[in-house]
Amino acid sequence: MNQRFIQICLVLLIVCWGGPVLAHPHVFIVPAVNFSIDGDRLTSLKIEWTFDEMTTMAALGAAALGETYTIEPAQHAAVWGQAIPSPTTLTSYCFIDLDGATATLAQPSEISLKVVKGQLVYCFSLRLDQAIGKSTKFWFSDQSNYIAFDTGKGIFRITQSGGTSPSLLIQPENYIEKIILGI
Amino acid sequence: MSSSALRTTNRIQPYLPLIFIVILFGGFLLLAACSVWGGIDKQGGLLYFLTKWQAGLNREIAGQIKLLRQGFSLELLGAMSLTSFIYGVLHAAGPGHGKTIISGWVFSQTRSLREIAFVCSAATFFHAFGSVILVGGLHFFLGRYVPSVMNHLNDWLYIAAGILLALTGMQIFYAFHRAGPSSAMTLTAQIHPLWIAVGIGIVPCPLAAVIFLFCLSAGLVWQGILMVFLFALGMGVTLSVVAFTVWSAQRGAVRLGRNLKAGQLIRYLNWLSGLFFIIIGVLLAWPATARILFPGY
Repeated sequence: MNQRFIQICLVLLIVCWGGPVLAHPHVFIVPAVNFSIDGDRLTSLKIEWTFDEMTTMAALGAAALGETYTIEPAQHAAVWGQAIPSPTTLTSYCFIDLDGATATLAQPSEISLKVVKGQLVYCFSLRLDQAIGKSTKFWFSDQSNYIAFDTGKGIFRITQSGGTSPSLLIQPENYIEKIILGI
Repeated sequence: MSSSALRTTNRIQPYLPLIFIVILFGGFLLLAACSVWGGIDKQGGLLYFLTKWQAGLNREIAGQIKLLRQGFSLELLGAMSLTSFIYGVLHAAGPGHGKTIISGWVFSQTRSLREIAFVCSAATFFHAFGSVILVGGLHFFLGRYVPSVMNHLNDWLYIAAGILLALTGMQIFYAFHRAGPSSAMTLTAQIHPLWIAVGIGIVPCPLAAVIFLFCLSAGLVWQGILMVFLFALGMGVTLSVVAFTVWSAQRGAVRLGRNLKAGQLIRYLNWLSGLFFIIIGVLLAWPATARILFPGY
């Protein structure tokens, strides 16, 4: 069989598969994370997701354009949807790897929503109690690729109480940008 | 090579295109199923860069719309038009239902390039302007954009698209069994191009909706329509390139399988495409159905 024909078919197979109906990104998030470390243990992650302006408007309406305000908890349920994940689904976008072993994340707490200059900011905390090994990797990813995380543009900090402060760097791994804490 | 091995190779040779197409369709279905169930990590090199570019274009277009709101400039409008077109091209380059459906249709049918071009154009314009009609309709009937109403409408349109595609598959199966083994070629007339265009386009493009809504909120109505038009044009270009490549591959398969009866090959493709459309229809409708049946899903 013609080699060119096989190549064309293989390219098509890769390009055309469409199970994930909305597999191309529609929502863009710039994440920020504050890692709380007590001694040699990672105790919590305070996360902020800043949504793009267009998604903010689609989720909140035209009133959000250019505005800054807090969304009251009673109104949160109206915001959750396909573009803005509900708190119960948040951990399916967050992944942590401690020295090669995947750790389970607890349900998020301290959830708040606000709009800053027309961009929705989704804040939540993930509680942990894990010893930091040689390498701790944390990243965001959406299996359906509907939400895209621009981790490279995010802000990441460590709040340390005792012990040696680990290093922090952002590094792509298999085309996913990961936040890496190392001792 | 021994003479018996050569004979076996010669016997298999005519069936290679058929085997290859069966594997190709099987691959489509398997990947579709796996990705819905989260079994495949979709972050590849191409997707990574496509996503990065789209994130940049998304910021760019939002900034340009805000600038245009402050004051009209022909240069800015030109830049916005170009950004929208490029955004459309890149947006359609990732995996999505449109390419899957059109590939299945082109692969299984003997269609002219004119019909394929019609489906590509109609599907992208339905897909993009369906969103404009929804957003505009909400403004007209409710006086403002209500996100929850838009989400419900979207869910029902996904279900409608899924049903439409599943019906397409059933239509193929019905025709297949009704026609009998001798009249394979007549089956290709069963799916009208408009049916496929509506099947793809009935699902409104969330991004086109957001671009239009963003323009509308800035008081830029005709500029919003222009942006969506150019965005759709960009998506149409990508879809047409994919459809044309599939069409070339299909013609190549038929040519390579000339030792098989052409009708037999088309017949197998028809049967497979029936299954393909039913599965894609179910995959398309399922998330929206689950959201309606099980709130909080």
